[in-house]
Amino acid sequence: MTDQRLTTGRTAWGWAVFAFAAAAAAMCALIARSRAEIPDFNREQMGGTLRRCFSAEPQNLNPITGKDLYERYVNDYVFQRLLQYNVETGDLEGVLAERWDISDDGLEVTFHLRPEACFSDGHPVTAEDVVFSYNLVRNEEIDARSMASYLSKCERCEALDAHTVRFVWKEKYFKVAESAGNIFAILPKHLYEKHVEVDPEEAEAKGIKHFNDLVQDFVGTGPYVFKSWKTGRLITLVRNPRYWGKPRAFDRITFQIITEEQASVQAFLSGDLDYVPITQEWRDKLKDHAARGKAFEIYVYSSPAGGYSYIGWNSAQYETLVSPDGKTQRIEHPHPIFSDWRVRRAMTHLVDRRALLKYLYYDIGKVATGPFWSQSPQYPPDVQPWPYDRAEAMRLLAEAGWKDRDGDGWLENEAGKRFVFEWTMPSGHQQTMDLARIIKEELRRAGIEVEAKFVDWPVFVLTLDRRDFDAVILAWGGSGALEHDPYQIWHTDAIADQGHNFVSFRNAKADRLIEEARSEMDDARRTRLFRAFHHLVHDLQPYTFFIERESLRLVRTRLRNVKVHKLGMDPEEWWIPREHRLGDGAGTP
Amino acid sequence: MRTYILKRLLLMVPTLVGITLLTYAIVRLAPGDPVGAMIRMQAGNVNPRVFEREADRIRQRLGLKDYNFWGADPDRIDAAEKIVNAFYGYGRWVWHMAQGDFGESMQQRTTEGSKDPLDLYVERAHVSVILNLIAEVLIFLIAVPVGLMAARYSGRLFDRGSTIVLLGLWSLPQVLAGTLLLSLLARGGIGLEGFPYAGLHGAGAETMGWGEWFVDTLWHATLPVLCLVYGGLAYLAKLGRASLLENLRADYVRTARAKGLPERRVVYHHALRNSLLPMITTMVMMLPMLLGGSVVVERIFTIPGMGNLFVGAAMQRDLAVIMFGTLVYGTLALLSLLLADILYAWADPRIRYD
Amino acid sequence: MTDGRTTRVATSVTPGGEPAGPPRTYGSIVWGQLKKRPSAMVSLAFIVLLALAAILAPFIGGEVPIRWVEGGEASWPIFRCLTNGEYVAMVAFLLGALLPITIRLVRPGAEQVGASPMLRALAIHAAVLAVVAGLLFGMREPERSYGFYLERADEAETAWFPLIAYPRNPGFSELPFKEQPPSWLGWLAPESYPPGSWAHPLGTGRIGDDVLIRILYGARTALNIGFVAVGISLAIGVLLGAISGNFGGWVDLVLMRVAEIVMSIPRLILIIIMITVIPERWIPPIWTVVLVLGVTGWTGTYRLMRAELFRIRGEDYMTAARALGVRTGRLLIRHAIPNGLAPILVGATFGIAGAVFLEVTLAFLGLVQTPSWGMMLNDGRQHLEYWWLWVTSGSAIFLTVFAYNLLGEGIRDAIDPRLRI
Repeated sequence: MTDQRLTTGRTAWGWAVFAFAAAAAAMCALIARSRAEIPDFNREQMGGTLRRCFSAEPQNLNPITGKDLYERYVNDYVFQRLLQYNVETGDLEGVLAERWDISDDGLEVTFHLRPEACFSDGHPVTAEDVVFSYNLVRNEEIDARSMASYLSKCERCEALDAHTVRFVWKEKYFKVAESAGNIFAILPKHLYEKHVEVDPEEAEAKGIKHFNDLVQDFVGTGPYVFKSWKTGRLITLVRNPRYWGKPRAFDRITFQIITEEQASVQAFLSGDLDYVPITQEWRDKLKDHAARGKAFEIYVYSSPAGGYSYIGWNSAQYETLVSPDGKTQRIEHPHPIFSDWRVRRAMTHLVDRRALLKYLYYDIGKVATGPFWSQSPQYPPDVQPWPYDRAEAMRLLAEAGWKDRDGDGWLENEAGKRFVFEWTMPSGHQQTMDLARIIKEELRRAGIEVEAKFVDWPVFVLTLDRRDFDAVILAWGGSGALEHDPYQIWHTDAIADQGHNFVSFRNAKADRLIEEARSEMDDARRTRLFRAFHHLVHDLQPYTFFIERESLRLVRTRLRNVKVHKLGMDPEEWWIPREHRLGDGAGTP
Repeated sequence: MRTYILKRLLLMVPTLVGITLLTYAIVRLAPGDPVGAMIRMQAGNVNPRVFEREADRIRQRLGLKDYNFWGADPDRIDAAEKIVNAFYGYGRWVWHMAQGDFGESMQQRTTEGSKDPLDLYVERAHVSVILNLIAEVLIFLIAVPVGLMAARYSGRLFDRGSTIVLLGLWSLPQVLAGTLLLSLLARGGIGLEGFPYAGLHGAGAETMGWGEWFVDTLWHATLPVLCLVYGGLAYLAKLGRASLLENLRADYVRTARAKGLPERRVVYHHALRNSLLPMITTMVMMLPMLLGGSVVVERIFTIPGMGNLFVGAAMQRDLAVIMFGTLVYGTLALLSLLLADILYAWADPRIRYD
Repeated sequence: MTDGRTTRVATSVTPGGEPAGPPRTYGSIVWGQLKKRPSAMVSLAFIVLLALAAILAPFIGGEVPIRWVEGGEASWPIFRCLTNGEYVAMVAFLLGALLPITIRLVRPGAEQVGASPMLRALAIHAAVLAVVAGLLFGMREPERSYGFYLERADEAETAWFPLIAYPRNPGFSELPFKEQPPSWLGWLAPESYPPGSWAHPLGTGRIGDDVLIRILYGARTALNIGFVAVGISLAIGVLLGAISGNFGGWVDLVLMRVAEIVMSIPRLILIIIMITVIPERWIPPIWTVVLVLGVTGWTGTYRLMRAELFRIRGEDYMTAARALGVRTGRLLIRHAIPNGLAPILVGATFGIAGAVFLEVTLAFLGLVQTPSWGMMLNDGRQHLEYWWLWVTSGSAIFLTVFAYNLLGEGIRDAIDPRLRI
């Protein structure tokens, strides 16, 4: 439940913050890019270094195979896509594409590239590069799994001429432009083609690394280029002298790697960092700090990337049968406890989300009611979160057959079986353990016994994939877009094949709503469909939705033009006045 | 004497084999799949084909593949076969190690830096060595006078007081001491704000001159060294006190006094020299312990040292790094034991090993 | 005077030729010395009190009342809710307190046959404990549901709650009380407690849990780790040392190498490897740390025991006993172990201190799952301004380790004949 904090899992201690953010990064809808209107900086405003930090090292800086948020933060400066969202309005804008058209049947999107766009080595961006990048994502040999799923309904991508490229889709989709244009970065074909064509087994022999093994020093179209990566310490980017677009203000961007949150806050407070993400507790500690308002400011904002945390109730139970000839088969049964929506809704009534928000999250965030971001058009304004109401919960449970039949203080069903379930959670995360303790005690008071099971992250991932749990606690990160496509998480098709519908939520009406909304290009009609979907999920509570998360940032006041937009913040529009710059950027910031 | 040393050195070999074999066996025979776990943890959502290939490659490289030797079922590896596989894998590790190939670190799989455990340890060695050497020297320099004074004024206020203080220091967990030092004395914390909060070198350390670099490193090392020193100090001071007291009550001291030698000479020249021996040998044995046990200090002060590397590898079951570390630490421990015994023999002519 | 089965110290004779009093065994000499050392007695008292507090924790803080009278019916709910383990611990403590009485009762009979009264008494107590434990675990299920006693306190005519009437595990209704300083410092948090209130003598933690209650239950973990882990080390070390010392030869060579091997691997690493390697279904995580601490810490005891055995092997009375055909096992139990026990005891007390320390480090690394002082310290250190969190756990750890160290030093001095008081 902290926000963007990841570790590489290099240390189990680092797992303390790994869980949710990793879940957010690895399993979420892709974070689509959003950018602000870059002002015209004059010479006086240009210069200086922006010093950021990460709480763990990125695995690699490969824009296609990168697995964590940190890689994305770095590559946001180095690479660009065809489109991006405007961080203030939420509309799609062209970056590498000047303009784009969608055909009448909605199946074709044609992009017209900017002729002036070029890579940092001077080569112009052509449609061939777009096709190459598209093929990278869809290449089975390339480790681009999470991106690939967004292009699964794309039939082909073809270059019509040097500056025109077309994507053809199999079905109508309201995000057809975003899926083509705002998912993957554009890489130069002339530089990376050979890395893709080499056979992984022969790569070492030929001295050419396979694309999957390329780790850093990539060439992109962005305003910054990679300078150096001191393992475990610092990643440095410098200005791209051949950048085709409006220059940014900073000459350099550095990312320091500081694992302990306390150390990163201390670094910030002593002036060594400019921009640091923090957790709710630190905000509470720092809100009365003497230097607040003078040397630094705390920003709290809601963005679609925040996502939400939840308890997932498994609606199905899987049985593995091994036939005599060694074949395994998995049979799905309805879960004995959680397949009944009344039980799930009762569980939501038993969790006092307002108290959690107030006391554990220091009022930062909102109680989540369903899958959509509260400030997006998809969110129905009339939905009310289920209140904390033990009486109502007991009533629903009784209706579902769970009563204390023998006066021993525990609930049993008609067959006399006690209400006991196993709650699987990633280990090492303090907030999770606190939450688990409180909820376990609350449920005990209601007569429900919970066995809290903490497992390592890799085991946890396996558990999710195999649906081997009664209940889990997890979080989804949001996409960067105003509207979110619920297909990946809620459709019946997403149950099999290790899809993201972990709880095996099967509902024909929900499926229909999703399918209709996805292919509805009219905004108003689509909004109505999504809102109905949100209400449905809210009623059935396949998850107990917890808290919609907000982002917290510490920013030094010496940075100017720092604004919070509708979709978040964008460091690329900031600048530092000359008198506040430190050093000449040589070795020291 | 020489033959004794030779014999001990030779005996070190089977012990080292035992150490490394034991470690290898535990890590290798453990249930679970560390390779798969590691890849999953680093990669999250991995393309299954890539996953299989990567996993295979690592297993091949580290000798973790389990071969089916004689089992009835070609697809299952039963317990006996696993044990044989473990021995085979160990042998393979020894063979490769003899050729200078220490395997590769699974954790560093995707980074650009070296994956060779040797490089990883060497990178951090200078940090650990600096810190621990300074700590050892300081411990010695402080413990000797304190122990000495406590023994001389035995039973009096200084002795009783210092015993309590030392025992108290000895009972303070490093986690608490480190955190307190960091918050009270380091920049960005509450309190003094005099020292840096992380790392062993300031930003821009590469561009400093020698003198400046030296001072900067010392300044950064102050708090971590303090944290390393206080525990060992207490132990050594008490040891010194006990040792000196024993000597001061010995017959030869009584003789010296009876002979009319000045007290100062008796204490400093005779008793002290003899009592230093157990202290020195203890210190010799303390060094490997310090090196291995400094992970708490390294984490709290964000110092990339060997202890952190080793512990991190142990938690992730990163086989190559664990094995290399065990080899290094084992050798150090055994060598220091030998050195201690040699020192004893050299100092005390009554001890004969042959 | 010896008949092959007694090792009584010869009756001492004063210069006047009269007997100088009842013969004193080595154990009683050491104990007598210990009694004369105030620091050792203080630390012993502290440890005993700590154990008592840990055992009686449900009576000191919790939501289950000791006595409850409702509608004319009286009940004692707390006794229904105590787990079998807690009952066994109480019985064990009681038996420990009664040990001197049993020894006195058993002495005449024991000394007639030349057995040690202490060992006999211990054996009797152990048997009683085993029977009680068997009965409890076989026949009783403690009550685990929530009784809502606190909420219904008004409905009862009489309700005797523990000293701190507060749930042991906090729920949502306890969240508003999170992170309160000790309540008698009411001026620090005036909105929650008036100054001088004893509702939360040590304040509350991150989720509204009472710190004192947590410390008490954490004491259980600390003592467990101390006694059980070191007990395991002792058992292994004494056994292996006895074998090594008795048989000598290649058995000794092999065992000595094994000990060297275990000693040369940094103990922390060995512990970490073993913890991460033992899966949950084999050993519940509560016992993993204890077990692993025990299995890695036996080398010191081993060496002591072995040295002791080598020493007495050459003694005349041993040769005589063996010549008379006394069985090796008997010799070991009657002679070797009691004599070697004292330095081993010193090692054990320092070992307990070391084990508690190691647990703190393991909690720092995130490898501990059960609530313990180490975990409290690790939580608390990240929020230093909530000083009551880390000061209490830090002090608890410090005081306990200090006490064990002091006790160890005391025993060491008590053994040393030159430091006789």
